Amino acid sequence: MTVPDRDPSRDEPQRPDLTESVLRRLGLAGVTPGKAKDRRRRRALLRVAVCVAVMGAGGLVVMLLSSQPRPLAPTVPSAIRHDLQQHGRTFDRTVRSIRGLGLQLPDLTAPASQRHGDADAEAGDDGAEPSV
Amino acid sequence: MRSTTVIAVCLLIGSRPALGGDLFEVAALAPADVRLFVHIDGAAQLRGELADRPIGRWVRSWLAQGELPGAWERLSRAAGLTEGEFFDRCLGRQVTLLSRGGEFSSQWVVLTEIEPQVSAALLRDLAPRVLAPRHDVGVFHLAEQELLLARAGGLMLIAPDNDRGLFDAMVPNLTRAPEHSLAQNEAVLQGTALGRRMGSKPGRARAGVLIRHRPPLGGWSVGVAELDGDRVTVRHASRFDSAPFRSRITAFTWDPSPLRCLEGTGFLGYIEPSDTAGGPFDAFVATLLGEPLISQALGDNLGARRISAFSDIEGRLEDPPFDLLLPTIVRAYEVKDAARAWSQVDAHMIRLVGALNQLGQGSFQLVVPDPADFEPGRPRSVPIGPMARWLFGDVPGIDQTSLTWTVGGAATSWCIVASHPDHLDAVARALAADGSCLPTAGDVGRWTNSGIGDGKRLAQHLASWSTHAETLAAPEDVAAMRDALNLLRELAQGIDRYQWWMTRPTVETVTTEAEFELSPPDSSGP
Repeated sequence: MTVPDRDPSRDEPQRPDLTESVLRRLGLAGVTPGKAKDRRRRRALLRVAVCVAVMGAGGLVVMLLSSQPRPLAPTVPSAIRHDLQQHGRTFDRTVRSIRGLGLQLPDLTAPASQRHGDADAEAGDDGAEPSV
Repeated sequence: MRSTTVIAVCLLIGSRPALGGDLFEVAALAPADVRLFVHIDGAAQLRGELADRPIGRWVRSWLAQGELPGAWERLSRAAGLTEGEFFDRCLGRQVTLLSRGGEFSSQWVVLTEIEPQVSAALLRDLAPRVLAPRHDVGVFHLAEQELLLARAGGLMLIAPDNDRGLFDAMVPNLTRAPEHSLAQNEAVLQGTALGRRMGSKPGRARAGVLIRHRPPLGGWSVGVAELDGDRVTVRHASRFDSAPFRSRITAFTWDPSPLRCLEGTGFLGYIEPSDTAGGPFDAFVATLLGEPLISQALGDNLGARRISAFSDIEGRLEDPPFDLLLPTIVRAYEVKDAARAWSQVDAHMIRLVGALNQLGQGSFQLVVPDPADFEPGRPRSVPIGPMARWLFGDVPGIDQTSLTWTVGGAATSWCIVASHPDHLDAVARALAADGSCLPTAGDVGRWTNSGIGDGKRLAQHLASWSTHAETLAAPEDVAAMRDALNLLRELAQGIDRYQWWMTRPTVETVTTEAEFELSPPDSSGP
């Protein structure tokens, strides 16, 4: 009697091939082009969704803020403040100008003849025609 | 105190009366530390009366330089009204501005009387945020105008929302009069008395103003004013802790009526008692010349009054002509003895001209008059143009200046000194008719001074100078000088005539009565 050759695959149960998975987890195997494309598409969709959510939230905040009354520039109080300061400065300038109308006294320490002589000399320097 | 009690009682029983008795009634609701109080009774009427007048135009053009008209227009639009309608409804009946605080930051509120149905409509249209009521007072926030509002009956309190101290202090007072208020202040009592003395007729716009001065001046000023047709009557009183006046208090009781004779001769004139003489001009002349402005002999002959008057001459009619209204000044001294005054003033003027020549060390070349050349009873005149040019600078027409004098008058004798013969002649003629300026009841008093002015002539004079601003100011200040002259010119244009009477009962106090005749509305002109 002959003993048939033993087929080990028939004796042991079929096991899944984990090689790919283990290698991938160890970072030693690449992904298939199809899977990579799928992942890129999912990441892009996620980014778009986040952008939409942020924009929506921003729009909501803007909408809420715009419904609150905000000061119109200038308001009556700020205009009063501004005008009081402005008119105060005008008043100061006016008073200073009026005070400036007072006599501008000549130098009383110098003799009047000398002052007039200076004025005449200056007039002569300007090239004024001498009186005849 | 009576009105304070009435307010308090009415507030407590919840039926707030319309304000309108005394101009300072609202002081009973104001904290005692308020420094500025302005109350207008009939603001809408005042706006209507002034709208078409030159003075109203001046106010509008002055306001238009700022931001307030734009802000007011936006607020009015928010209420669905024009600016004028909004003013009349909000502030047009009785309105009070109150302010307190430091020199550089102050809190303010406006208290206005509004009919309840009008205030309800305004609140509906403006749609402010409703805040929690305080002391039975409705409180609102108008955020877009940065305003807080409080409403109690017919009163509305308005204040800025960023400095609300005075608002918070006032809100409880709208329903419960405070124990201590501005009403107990001496200035309010004085202002109330002034308002009552002025009287009040229905339909006239009135105003009351109170200012408490900060140190070092200290004290207070209070004034009341009433508009009656073209006429504005003003009464004022001040008390200073440190008075800014240097002159003495007069001992004379006198009559300023001769000044009225000078109407039409210039743009400003005032009369004062001679015992308070010795102002800065007199001191200046005495220092400059080593001679007093009035000699001892003439001083002994002086009466109780002296007049200063300002006018101008038309430079385009002078020879040579110049394009300026050259200012001229007249001093008229009341004298007891006209005959003695002639010789006294002649002798003094001869000495003065000699002193001027000494001052100029011969360069002025003034001709010292010879008494033998004087014609009896005729005015004397000495040209002093070179001296005036040295003193006042290169002003067009300054060479026309003269030292000219005469003695004249009718019932009263006057020694008159002027800077131009034309002005001397005009004043001498006017004072020669002083019988036509007899005193009326109330003229006689212990006045410190009294004055009159012609706004139109003053406006013409200022307009003339605004074209020669460079002769008055340094090059960098010419624009500011021109602006100042134009501002004053436009203001003067709005007043036809003005007069005042001032008294100083004590060293620290001063009172004034004044009357302004406003220029008529533009449409009523020729």
